[in-house]
Amino acid sequence: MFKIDNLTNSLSRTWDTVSQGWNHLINNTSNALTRFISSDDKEKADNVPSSSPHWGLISADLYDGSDKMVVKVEAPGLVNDDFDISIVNNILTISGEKQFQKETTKGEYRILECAYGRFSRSIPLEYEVNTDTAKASYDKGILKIELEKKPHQRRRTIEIK
Amino acid sequence: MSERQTYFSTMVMILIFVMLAALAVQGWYMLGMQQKLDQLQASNVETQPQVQQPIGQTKKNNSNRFNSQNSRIYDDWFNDSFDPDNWDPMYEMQQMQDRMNQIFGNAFNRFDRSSNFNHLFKNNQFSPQVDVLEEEDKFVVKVNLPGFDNENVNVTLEDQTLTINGSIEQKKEETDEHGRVISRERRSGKFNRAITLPAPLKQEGMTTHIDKGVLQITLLKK
Repeated sequence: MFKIDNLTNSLSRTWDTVSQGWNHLINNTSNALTRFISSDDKEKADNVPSSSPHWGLISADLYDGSDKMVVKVEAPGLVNDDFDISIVNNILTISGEKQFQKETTKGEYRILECAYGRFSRSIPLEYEVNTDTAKASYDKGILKIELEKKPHQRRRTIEIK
Repeated sequence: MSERQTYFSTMVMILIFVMLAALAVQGWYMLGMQQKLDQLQASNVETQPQVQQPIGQTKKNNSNRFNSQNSRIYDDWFNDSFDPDNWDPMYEMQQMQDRMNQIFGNAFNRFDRSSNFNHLFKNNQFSPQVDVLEEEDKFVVKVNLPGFDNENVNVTLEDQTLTINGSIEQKKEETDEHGRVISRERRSGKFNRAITLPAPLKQEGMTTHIDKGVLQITLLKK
């Protein structure tokens, strides 16, 4: 049947477009999706309105240079002291706490989409890195971590003679 | 026969009669339309300036239409004189099929072609998270915009609608020719977000500043 074939073809193509988009979205964000737990500090935890979401995106870009790795993590609205970065067994763990700023005047939240509280994200590293020379900086809401690879893990290109 | 069964059968009979009546009325109207069309055509032919065309030739054209290979999708049924000798059911079927294919083609190709549908996934438009706090005399809007500068963001207030848009390019600052990107989760591209606030606002006196990737906008209430 010509007609039915046409129909199934078009439908499957449509489905492919949709599922491809979803897969793309999932691949991009599933790792970044992080749970925000309420703070240990009772007073801080009480500040956060209950309607605030418990899940947020901590997106990271990983770059693999020939002798170092650069990790950039999006974490807007934190201060340097809020972060806790560690490397154990080639796994980089970035944890922190996004503090909820209590307004001095009484107000009501109309929209609340940002997540607050403690979070932790672990990123497995492909290479062994030198933890002593690791550098971290925080600017414009982006945490940048530079990790030096151990010498035997550095990439060398071999030229053909 | 039980009472219920008779009731049921009478209902069925009534339904059938109603349907038949509807069919008859439809047929009657169609006949009327056909006659009217004939009349109109006849008057058209009369009023038209005389084009010399032998009657036999037009008739031939008409009868050829069913078998002709130029597949006109829209065939006006009423205008054609029906000729049972030349009637080709296969041609009619083919026509119907073509028409169906056209409809399905139109309906489903739209998904592929439509830019609206594709840009959901292919264009990197994103929408940043927003907090809106209403206080007694002002609104405080906070937008998560990591990596943005003042120059990248554009904030406009129009009546009660606050529009925030901007764009960011994730630049490849690492100029290492052997380097590679392992993963890229951060969004780049354009964003556009409009928020309608629930109270009238002063059009002046809006302050904006970006600190640590959070854009804070203060709007004064009237």
